[in-house]
Amino acid sequence: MTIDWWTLGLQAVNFAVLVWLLRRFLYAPVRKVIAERKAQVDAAQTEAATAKAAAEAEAARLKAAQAALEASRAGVLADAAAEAETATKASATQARAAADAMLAKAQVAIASERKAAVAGAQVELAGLAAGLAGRILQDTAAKVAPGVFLDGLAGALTALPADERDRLAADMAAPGAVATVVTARPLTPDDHPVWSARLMPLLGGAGTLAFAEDAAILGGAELRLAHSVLKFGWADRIAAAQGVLTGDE
Amino acid sequence: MESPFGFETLFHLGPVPISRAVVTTWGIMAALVLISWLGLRRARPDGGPVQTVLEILVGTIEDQIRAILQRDPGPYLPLLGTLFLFVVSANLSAILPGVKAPTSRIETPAALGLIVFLSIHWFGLKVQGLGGYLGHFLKPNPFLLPLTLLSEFTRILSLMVRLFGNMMSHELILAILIYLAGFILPVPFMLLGVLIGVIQAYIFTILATVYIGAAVGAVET
Repeated sequence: MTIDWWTLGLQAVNFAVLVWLLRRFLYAPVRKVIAERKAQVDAAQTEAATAKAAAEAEAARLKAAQAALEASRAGVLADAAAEAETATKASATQARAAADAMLAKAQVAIASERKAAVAGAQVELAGLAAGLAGRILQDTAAKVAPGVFLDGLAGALTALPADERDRLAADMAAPGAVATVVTARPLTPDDHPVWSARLMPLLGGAGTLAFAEDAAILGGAELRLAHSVLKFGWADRIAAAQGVLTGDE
Repeated sequence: MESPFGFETLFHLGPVPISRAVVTTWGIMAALVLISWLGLRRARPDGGPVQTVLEILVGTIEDQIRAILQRDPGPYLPLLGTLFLFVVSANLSAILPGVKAPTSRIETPAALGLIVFLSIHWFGLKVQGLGGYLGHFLKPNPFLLPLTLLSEFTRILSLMVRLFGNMMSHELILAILIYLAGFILPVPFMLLGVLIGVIQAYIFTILATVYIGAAVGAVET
């Protein structure tokens, strides 16, 4: 066996040259392309990661905004509910107050109407009673003796206070003073001296006593002086009683 | 039939005889460089089909180197990748009519073995330094130093002879079959030769990688 050392050396050189050539034309371009592709992938991944982070941040922002919106909505709803409740309470209070006012006004009106009706009824009843009493007394007066009226009038004068009687006496002491006795029916001439004898002393004894009739007094007697009237007529008594019934006195 | 141990000189360049194996090697070199240049002259991330094939090829070789060395394959790729591509191309060149595989001649495997031998020590010294690299010959036991040194030569010799023996024997068998049975019967054996050529190139490259890996030492962390 023989070895061609020239061929061996040339093949070694050839291989070394091939290594250099492939390093230049094959491995370097391939590694460069792979590096570029890897850089592109890395850039894309970085970009995707950035986009993802931005999307997540945006999602978080939107979530926070939604939460804030929900909170705001809840607050607005709570405020609206509170306002509605307040308004409802105010309306109810106002309505209740208005109703109370209306009720009070109605009660006042009812009371006033009732009072007016009662007063009217009292006046009407008092008038009716006075009318009835007047007719009864008018019929009764004809049957009563005038002396009864004289006793009543004399009793009234006697019951006057002393100063009052002094003032009456002073009126009668005046020159030409006349005291008029008024009855519902005329007194007989026989009755005049009796009445004078009984009343004049009570009036101080001076002056003149006159007699007159007035059917309006129904019964009883009145003593009319210059400055005063001493009433003992039944019409005045009925009027006084009617005043008591109607509440005027 | 020509002896596999002989040499066929086609012409002389001055005093230098140029054999058929050298010329075939030049042709293989030209083809590899031309394909690389055509496929990658406008290399870009979205390249064409040829670029894609070349990228896959280089990527696969890189993955194999990384898997064995557990290191960045960058410094070792030009040598080991070229070793595989050249051996595959040289082995398969015999398919072409009138072409004989350069690896079926003892000089080409010997030259490749010589380069692998030198590369092992070059990478070992470069990575581990002089002291570290020489120290690894004393492991696991200094008494084994003679055997270790002897194995440095024998394993390269076996690497060389394995490639040469397989390719030479295949070519010899093919020549005998053609001589005996004409041109039809050898076709399956030619297809078998494709398989043998690829396997031998793979074995040659892997073993060279393993030897370099043993020289550069422990795995980087």
